[in-house]
Order: sequence, then C-alpha cells, then structure tokens
Amino acid sequence: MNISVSYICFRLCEKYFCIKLEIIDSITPYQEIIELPYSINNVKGVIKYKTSVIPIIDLVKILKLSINEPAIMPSTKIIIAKYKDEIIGILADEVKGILDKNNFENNNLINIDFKDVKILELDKLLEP
Amino acid sequence: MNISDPHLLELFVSSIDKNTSAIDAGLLELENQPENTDIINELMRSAHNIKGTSNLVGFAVLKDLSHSIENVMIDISAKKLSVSQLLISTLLKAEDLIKVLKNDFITEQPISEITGIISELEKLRAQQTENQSKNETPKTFDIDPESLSIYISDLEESIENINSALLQLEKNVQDKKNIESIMRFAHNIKGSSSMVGFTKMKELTHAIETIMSDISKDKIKVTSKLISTLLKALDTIINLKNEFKKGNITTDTSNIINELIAVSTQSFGSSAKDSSNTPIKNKEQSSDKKINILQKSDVKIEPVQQVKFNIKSIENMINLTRELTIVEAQLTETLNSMAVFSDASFTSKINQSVEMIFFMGKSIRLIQDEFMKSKMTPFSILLKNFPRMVRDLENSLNKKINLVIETSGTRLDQNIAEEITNPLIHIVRNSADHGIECPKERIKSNKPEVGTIKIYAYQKSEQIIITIEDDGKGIDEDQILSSAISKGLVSRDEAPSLSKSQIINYIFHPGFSTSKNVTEISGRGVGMDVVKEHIKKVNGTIELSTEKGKGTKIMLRIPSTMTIIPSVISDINGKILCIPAINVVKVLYITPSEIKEKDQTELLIIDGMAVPLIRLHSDIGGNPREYRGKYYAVVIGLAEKKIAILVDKLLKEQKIVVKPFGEILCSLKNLMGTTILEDGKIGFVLNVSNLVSNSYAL
Repeated sequence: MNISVSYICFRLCEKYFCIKLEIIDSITPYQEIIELPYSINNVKGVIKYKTSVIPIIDLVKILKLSINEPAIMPSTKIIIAKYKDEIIGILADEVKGILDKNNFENNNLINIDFKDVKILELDKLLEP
Repeated sequence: MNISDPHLLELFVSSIDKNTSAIDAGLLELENQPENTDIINELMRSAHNIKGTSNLVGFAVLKDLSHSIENVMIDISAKKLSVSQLLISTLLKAEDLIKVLKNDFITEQPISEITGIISELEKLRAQQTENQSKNETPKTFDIDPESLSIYISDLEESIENINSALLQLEKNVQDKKNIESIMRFAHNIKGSSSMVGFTKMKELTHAIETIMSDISKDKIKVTSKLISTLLKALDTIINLKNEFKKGNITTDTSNIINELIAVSTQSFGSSAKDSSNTPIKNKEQSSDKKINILQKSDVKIEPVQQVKFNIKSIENMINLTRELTIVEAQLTETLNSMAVFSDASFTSKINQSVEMIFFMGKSIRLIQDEFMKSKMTPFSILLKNFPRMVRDLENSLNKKINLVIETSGTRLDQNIAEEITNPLIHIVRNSADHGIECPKERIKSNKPEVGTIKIYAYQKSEQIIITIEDDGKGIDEDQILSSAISKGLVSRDEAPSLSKSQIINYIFHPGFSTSKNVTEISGRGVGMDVVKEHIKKVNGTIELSTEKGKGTKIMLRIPSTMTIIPSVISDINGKILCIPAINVVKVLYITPSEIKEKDQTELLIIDGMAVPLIRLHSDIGGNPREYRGKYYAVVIGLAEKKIAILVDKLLKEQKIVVKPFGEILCSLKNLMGTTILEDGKIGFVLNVSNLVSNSYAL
C-alpha cells in the first residue's frame, strides 16, 4: 500500500476493499440497476448518472465473492469511478471512509476496525 | 548640388543615416531569417523613406536607387523573390552606394554612377520572377489564407453557375439570361483571379468572357461544338482550381484558349459548313422547361451571409443542448415529486417553476433544431453535377435523355451526403446505360424519342426518401433468374417458387450482372452491390421495382442525420428497446400460427418473402413470456434485406440521441448504445446493421 496516496474504503460481501481516491468521481445512493438486454460478462447493468448512462461493474462476479447477490441495504452505495475514458459504477454494501497517511503507522493500518483490506486496481480488474 | 535650406539638408542627412543603418542591420538579420516578414517590412519602409526624402530634396539618382531597393523588398514580401546570399550582398552593395551618394550630395561632388547596381538588382528580380511564374503556386500570392479560401469558394460557386447556365444555354439558345450569367460569372472569376495573381485562370476566363460577349452581340452563333468547347474550358478551370488548392499548377491553358478562339471564329456568322456547327435548335423545348424551372429554384445557393463553422463544434453544441433537455426532464420530475409533499402556496410556486422550465426546454429544442439545420447541406448540392454528367452520357451513348430533378428543399448531414453521392451517380449511370433505350428503339416501341430520368427527393422528419425513376426498358426478370441459376445462387428446382421481388433482389448480390456486355459507363455489374453497401453504411433501405418495357424505379430511404434518430420505442421483457424508425418497414400483429420454421430458424412470410424472425427475449434476460393470442412483429429493413423482431409492447415514437457504448459495453454487438428517453428512462438502441447481418449469417 502506497502511504502517500489516499484510498476510499468500502465493504462488499463482508470483505474490505479500497480504490485510489483520485479516480473516484463521486459516491451516490443506490439506484435501480437496469440489466442489459444482452448478457455481458462482468457487467451488472447500467444506471443513469448525470446526463449519461454508465455501466455497473459486477465485482461480486469478477472476484467470486459470493454466489448470491448481496441484498440491497440502506447503506448500499454506488461508487462512481473513472476508468480510461469512461465512467463506471461499482456497487458497495457500505462505504467505510477514506484511508490516508493518518491511518498508517510503520506501514500498518491503524485506527480502523478491520485489518484485511484489498486494493483494487480497475485496470487489472477489467482487462479481458 | 545646392540646397538652400540648411534645415532641409540636415533633415535629409539624418534621415538617410538613420535609414541606411536600419537597412544595414535589417539585411543582416534577413539573411538569417529570410521568412521574417517584420524585417522585410522594416526594410521596405526604410527604402521607401530614403526614396521620399531624396525626392524632397530633388536628388533623383538616390530616389531611383532606393526605388529599386524598395521594389526588391516588395517582391520578397510578395514571396516572388526568395532571399539568397547573392541577393543580400547585392542589396548591401546598393546600400553602401546610398551612403556614397549621400556624401557626394552633401560635399557637392560629382554623383557616382548607379546604373550598374540598378541593373544588377533588376536582373535578380527578373530571374526569380521568371522562375516563379513557371511554377505558379499559391505561396507566391501575397494573400492571407482567409481571403484565399473566400476566393476558392467564390470560384467554386461561379464555376457551378457557369456549368448550369451552359447546359441551359444549350437547350435554349435564345435565352439571353444564360449568356449574361455566364459572362458575369466568368468576369467574376477573371477579376478575383487577377486580384490573387492567378494569371492562367484570368486568361482563360477572359477568353470565355470574350466569347460570351460576342454571342450576346450575335457575332457568334451557339453551336453544340461551341458549348462542348466551353464545357471543356470549364473542366480546365476546375482542374486549375484544384491545382491551385494543392499549390501546384501544372495544367496548360494555352491549348484550350486556342481551341476557344478557333471554335469562336468558326462559329462566326453563318458561314459554318460543318454539320456539328449548325446552330442548335431549341431541342425538346417543352420538356426542358420543367428542368429549367426546377433548377433555377433549387440548385442556386441562397445569397445569405454565411460563416464557416466547424462541424465538430456544432455536434458538440447539439450534444450539449441534448444534455440540457435531459436535465430539464429531471428537474421537472424532481419538482413534481416535491409538489406532492408541499403545502398549497408552495405547490403553486413549484408549478410556476415547472412551467418556466417547460418554456426553457422549448427554447433549448429550438436551438437544437437550428444547430441541426446549420449542420446540414441541401440535397440539391449533391446533384449539381448530374445535368452535366447526363449530358456527357447522352453524347457517349448516343441516347437522348432528359433529367428531371426535384429536391424540394431537402437537407441532410454532410457525412451522409458524401456516402450516398456515389450510389446516386451509379444508379443514374445504370439508368442511362441499361435502362434508357437508344432513340430508334424507343420510337419502335412507341415511346417518346427522349428518355427521362427523374430524381425526386422529399423529407419526412429525419428521413429522406429519394426515388430515381427511368422510363427505359426495365429489368428482365427471366434474365436475372437465368443469370442467378448459372451463377449458382439459386437451384433450378427452387427457381419457380421465387417471388418477383426475390428475383429482383439478386441484382444486389456481389458480382451479379445482367448486362450482356460490360460497358465503360456502368462497369461490370458490381454496381448495385456497391450501392447497397453504401446505403447500408448510413442505415438506409433500398427498394427496386421494375416493369419490363416500362422502366425501373429505385427508392432509397436514408436518414438525414445520424445525430438525432427518430425511433420506435418498444418494450421487451420490461426493457426498453429503441428501433431506428427509418428501418421500421411495418409492424404486424401476428398469431403464432403465422410463424413458419425452416432449418431451425423461425420465419415470417411478408409480401411473399421469407423473413427471419428474431426473438430478443432470451438475450434480454428474464423468462421468455408465454404468448397467448397475438404478438407484435416489427419488420426491420436494411438496404434490401428484411428481418422481423418480436416485441411485447410498442410504446411510442420519439427522437433520440444515441450515446455509443464505451469499451466495457462495446461487445454488445446487437446494440449501438444507450439513450435517455424524455421520461428519464434508459433505452437501449438496436444496432440494426449488426442484427440484420447476424441473422442472415446463420
């Protein structure tokens, strides 16, 4: 983990992940995801975001986190991130907050109630 | 030499000193930066100053020398002269001489000889200009790029006007208006060409103007040979123009000018014996009146003040206005949902806002329409060369053809226009070559001697319907069928079961040709296949109907724009699918028993044609609905092919703007993107061309 960079940290299927803050566009409340007319790997569907339609990446499927779809809770959010020239959405059960250098001491995470955080790199995740 | 006024002398000396040192420095700088116009201008000014001051004190010799220097500088600045070392050193020599002359002048000594240096300078100028005039390029013209582009567009307009006027003149020699208009436009070109220093163009147009003025004074009679030569001259003008644009003028104009002079002297008076020189009678005047009228109202470009605009930036603005309308819809939605929870006084305020937003939305849509319109080109511009083309075809085929064009203000996107120009040329050439019979044959079959090709275009919202109709011999079905059998496209057993339209459609097959002999005009029958491909590219449809002995009619339906797509909004398993309206041939309400099956594909029989039936339900997800009763089948056409898709509901028709898929979703081949509908819902837009080709690949 690179301490000089800030991350946004979220929970999905009882696991913790984080994504570089600099590629995050915003975090929006959950809205209904519209499935695509044709099935396509790794994409759950699309949502309307500002004036465009963006794909929602199916992290559960990509990372094989669970066989079941996670339930939609009041804490469920959609993280909007930039990927190449596109904007994509990622479903999160809960957004925990930002991890920055205050959370680190000697390269170890401190002051948080969980220890095992996986860094997600969209480029690697979405490469075919 | 005496100057009575000491002040004047002082002024003269200081001015010469100042300017010579400026020239000194300037020349050295110029040697290092020969392209620097600031330096050149400075030098020009200095030389001019010296000239002026010398004149003031009556020092003619110095005036002449500085005048020479100034001329050299003018040539350099006009890019007629390039800066060479020799040039610089000669100029420096001249500048030294100025100083000598000045000293001679104030010390009242005999004035030094300057003719040597002046002739040296003149020689340099002459050499270079000679080289340049051999290879005339726009670079030699001292004009900014903007004026050049104005010159070119004026030129193009004038050429077009001369072209149509010439063709009309041929049909109606009496019409003085055409003569005048050719004369005027030739004169325009002459004037503007001489302004930009385009001598070849000037000379050629001058020759044309002279002939026209002789015609108008009845000194020369209009013969078909004269018209042909004038058209040839016009071709040369077009060549010159294109070369001018490229900056490399190589076309030789002397031949055509001589030809023009020769033909005009031949046509002089009535002494002509050559049959081709006999004055043209007003041939087919009655039928030609129509085309004249149509062209006058249509082909001419409206004299509205115009600015050039980048299409990309217009497209951006259209997209932005589109986003505004989406925001508008969302804003209205939000306000309406607020109104439910508010008290009465607040509700009325909200309603007011909703109303205001509605008016804003109306303006946004008007802006959008204006942008759309400004992006489009009149359809008639596409056809501007068609009268000429048909005339050339008439001559080379020895046929008589009357072309009727009616485009009634149709407009379309530039990129679509470019895509369909070639197909149209092809279709018209086909009609002229294979459709229209030669005059003898036509008379034999009781038809008017002159064949007719009509091009009609009209616009229906964002669609343009173009029909190209000829009254020729039509396409022989039996010949197509036997050709199809011999090429193995259809078996002999299957042949009798084919419907008329199925047979005709074989001509869209790659490499299919019915013409017994390959001709230069329309090639070897790859034609209709190519036409089809172009039409497919713009998502258009093509329909061909023909009657033996009566003629052929081809109908093209093409979108006028790719930016805004009027679509049929349908519902499949609760998902919204937008089908571009241009491709929707019809909607059928069918019972399950009408669906036939062959080789595991479902088919519908529509107008005697078997059309593949596509169910998108399984792809869309959810359970394919069990159909009780009837279905909606949307028949979709692309180029000459048709398919049908089953949908649950037809919701409405709406104009949509497609957002193409990015990298992540682009593997959805049967869709081209998404759109946000006016009610804020997400719609998926069908990629008709992929779906149709996939269904036929099966």
